[in-house]
Amino acid sequence: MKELKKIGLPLVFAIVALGFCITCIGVWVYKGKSAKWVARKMKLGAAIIALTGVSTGCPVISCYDIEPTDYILIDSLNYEDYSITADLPADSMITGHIKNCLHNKYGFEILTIDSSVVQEGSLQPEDGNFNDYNEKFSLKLDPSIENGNYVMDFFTIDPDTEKTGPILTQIKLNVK
Amino acid sequence: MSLFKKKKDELNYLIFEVTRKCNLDCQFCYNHWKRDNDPKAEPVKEGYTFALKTLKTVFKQANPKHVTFTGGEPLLAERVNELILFCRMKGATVSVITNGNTGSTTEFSQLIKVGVQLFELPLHSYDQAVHDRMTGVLGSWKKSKDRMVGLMKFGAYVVPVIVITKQNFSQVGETLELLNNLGFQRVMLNRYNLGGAVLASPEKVLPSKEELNEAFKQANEIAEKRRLQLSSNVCTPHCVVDPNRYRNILFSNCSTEIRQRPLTLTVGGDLRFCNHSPDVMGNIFRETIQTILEKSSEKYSVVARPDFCAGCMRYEKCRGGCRAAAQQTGGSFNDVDPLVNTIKENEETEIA
Repeated sequence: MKELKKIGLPLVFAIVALGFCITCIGVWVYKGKSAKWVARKMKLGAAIIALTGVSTGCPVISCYDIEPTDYILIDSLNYEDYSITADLPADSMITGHIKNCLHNKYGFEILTIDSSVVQEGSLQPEDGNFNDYNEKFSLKLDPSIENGNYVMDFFTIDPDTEKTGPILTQIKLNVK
Repeated sequence: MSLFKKKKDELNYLIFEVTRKCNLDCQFCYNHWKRDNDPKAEPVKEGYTFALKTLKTVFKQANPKHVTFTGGEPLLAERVNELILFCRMKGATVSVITNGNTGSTTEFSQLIKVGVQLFELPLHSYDQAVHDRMTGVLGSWKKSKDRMVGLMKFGAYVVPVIVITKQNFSQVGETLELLNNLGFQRVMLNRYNLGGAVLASPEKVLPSKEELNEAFKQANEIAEKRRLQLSSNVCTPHCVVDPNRYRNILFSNCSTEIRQRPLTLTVGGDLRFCNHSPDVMGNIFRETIQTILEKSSEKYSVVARPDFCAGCMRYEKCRGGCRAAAQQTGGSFNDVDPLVNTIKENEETEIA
């Protein structure tokens, strides 16, 4: 059966490709004005695309700007200076949501001004999975973080390799 | 072998203006060639042969991951389906921005079969008369609505678009409800962007700051109620529309990286920064895409802060709105979006 597939698929592809070349000649002869030949060309073209597995891909929503993906919004964010203020331990839970969520794991890092990591972790999806367009999440700040000003980065994490992606959002964290 | 193989430029996204022809007469049309006395508005090369030659040159120089066909009305372009097939066979994903007022069911069905991933069609109002007034053609609402519903039934992915103008800002909520009732969950909400035909008298089309915010307020409420996925794809100054007030809408902003931009190509090979910008960065028949982007990346990096934005805390995200609109209204790429004038006008009225 495997052998048959090995020979059969390239054979089908060769026949379709040959048919496509013939229809291209047909379309060229009629200068693209014969609806029949154009329809044949489109049909065989679609077959070649299907056989070669050319991806249709994720829809790119645009008109002017491309719709942003993995757009992180923090509920308690002060949009005037992109900061959050946390009075620990009382304000240790940070909540927010991710719009146009394209990944299934997200992480965060809290850094001092000289880039030393104070805390790192992953965002917890409210419903257990990051698999919807709009996903609510929470994260818990380490209550032992000392008072001061920090930088907080959000990024994607590859679930297989645990490799972190580029920073999606960067905010200031003021711990009181 | 690889020593002799030229490395192709990786492009994320390309908008292909396949024709300037259009069968509607939209009040809000932003296309720069509609401006009065536009020096670039001379007759241009069009047609299948030219378009195919341009696409062949593009794929020779670069690997665009995605191509969006637009115009004018792309389905009025000669043999557009074959051009789309060409892009698909080259491995690019394709979407089509159409007004839904032309093209046969057979043609659309062919496009779905070759894997066009997305169709964007307009429905500016729940009220047929308002939509038709905005598009300048009687019956365009019905054709557009029927086409988007038909495409959805065929299994195509359709995203309706509402352009917010002075004519329809108060109807955005009801329009979204209608679209949702028709089965659409994801909608683009694009505010009118200054440019094109109406530059001479924008007051007929351009909503005020209050009107714009009224539209987004309605949309935000409906999005929450009906769990709609709304996006605003025209970057808007945050001092005019503050995204923080509309948490159920996803707001786009102009990228600082030129390769992340909706680079726009004409049939004649002119490459522009985006579809709103009238500025030609270069021509792909005279220079390679890579050369054009390298020489233009500094000029179009959106890092120059306009005077208007001095000291603004929101600048890092907002970046002064649409710089291309500033270009269309006679300014430069370093100027702020002319939409901020709606704030100045408000302030002047208040003082008076």
